[in-house]
Amino acid sequence: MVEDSGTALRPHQLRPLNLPRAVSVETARGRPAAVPIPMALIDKHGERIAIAAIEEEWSIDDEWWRDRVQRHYFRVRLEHGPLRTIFLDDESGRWFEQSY
Amino acid sequence: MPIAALIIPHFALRMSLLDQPELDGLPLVLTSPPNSRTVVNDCTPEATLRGVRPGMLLREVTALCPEAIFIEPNPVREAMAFDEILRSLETFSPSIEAGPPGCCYVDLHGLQRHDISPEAGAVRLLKLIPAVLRPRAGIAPGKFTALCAARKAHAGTTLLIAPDVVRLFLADLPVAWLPIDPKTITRMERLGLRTMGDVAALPSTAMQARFGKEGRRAWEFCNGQDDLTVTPIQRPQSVIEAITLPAPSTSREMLLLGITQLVRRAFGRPELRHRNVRQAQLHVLIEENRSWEKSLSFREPAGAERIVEIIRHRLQDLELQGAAERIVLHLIGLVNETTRQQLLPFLAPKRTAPIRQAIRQLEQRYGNSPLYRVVEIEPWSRIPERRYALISYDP
Repeated sequence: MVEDSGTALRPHQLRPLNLPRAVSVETARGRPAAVPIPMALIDKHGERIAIAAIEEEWSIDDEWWRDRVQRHYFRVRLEHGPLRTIFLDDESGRWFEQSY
Repeated sequence: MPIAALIIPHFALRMSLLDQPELDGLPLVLTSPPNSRTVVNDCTPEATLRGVRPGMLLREVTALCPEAIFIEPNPVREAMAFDEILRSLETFSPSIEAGPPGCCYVDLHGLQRHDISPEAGAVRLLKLIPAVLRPRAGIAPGKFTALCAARKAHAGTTLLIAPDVVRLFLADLPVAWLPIDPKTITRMERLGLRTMGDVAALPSTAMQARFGKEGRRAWEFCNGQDDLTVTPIQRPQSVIEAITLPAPSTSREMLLLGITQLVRRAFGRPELRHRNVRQAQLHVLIEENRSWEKSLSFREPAGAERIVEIIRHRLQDLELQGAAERIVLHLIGLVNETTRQQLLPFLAPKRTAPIRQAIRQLEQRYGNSPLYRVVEIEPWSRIPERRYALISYDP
């Protein structure tokens, strides 16, 4: 990280980092079962990778005083080994991917 | 015949014969490494005949066998020579497994078209090893039986064990040859199980009940049930360069000069064009059959200049035990050349003008500046996207 230059923060120029990316997750009995292959692998776009195990799961319920944020996170291990973090947004019922 | 085992008994001693073949047939004694208790580590059959045994004190050997020739161990040279042997065997078959120094296995599957018989194949294999090392080979359906056959074979010959006589062949061999825990072997011997035939005659359940998993394994080996496979050597992509110094030298500067020359030569090779390496191994052969080696792992893949710089730094306190004769450099872990974002010197607060100008030009061209810096917003937040953000860089 660059050292603070002392410039005042201008909120209109802020770009949040690590925004959630919408993903379509295949579920089985309400639990994630398969996730799409990352966009980087263009040639395999659209294919899915099965989830081998759910390593960890947790929920957050925050900012109820403005736009409530209610999410259920899953850290999943894919069939070929890597870990990914996905969450189900309880408000919209949609799935997202986001490193935690 | 699927597997051949090749062995060179008394490997460390035989290595010295490569340089001094006139010592062949004399009682040779391998001493312990310098700075340790001076005992016999190994000895040739000629020395054994005169009563020399491993573990004996050297002064006892001098009294017992005054004509004994003492050889100091040289692990670097042994490892290099063994690797050379393995590489020459790989011209015979790609499926070669390295065992301890002086022992290897060759998978003979699919080689029938090259040789009329397995024995002919083994003869060809043995020819790849210098005869002065007295290699011997064993061929059998399994690795363990092949190794036992090689141990029973005479120097320069092959012992072939057909599948239907494996049990018969193993029956007379001592249990001490089994590849299991020595403590289990001692327990077996105490119970009167001295040969593999004794073990094979027992029910497998009895062996398992008495000695556990090891007992079961021993029973299987003794009955010729050997499912061990040959695991070919995995060679990481590497580059080897060697140089013989014009005259043996103890000078550190001379050594560094030689190493610099080797690094430049290695990076001049096509395999290393636009590539960096992760690890370097240095082997220095010193006078009087001694050696020195050092392995250097780099934090980041390094190019020629960086490697020389690191080696210079790491060898600044080096004191060799004698004059260096030959240097071998082994570069391992070849990766594509990587670049690293350096801190821009003009980012210093005192010199903001150039960066301001660059930002102005970028804004004119793209409408806004694509330069940002990361700022902490709420690093404690449970919501990940609230923790950090990018803000336009404005010096």
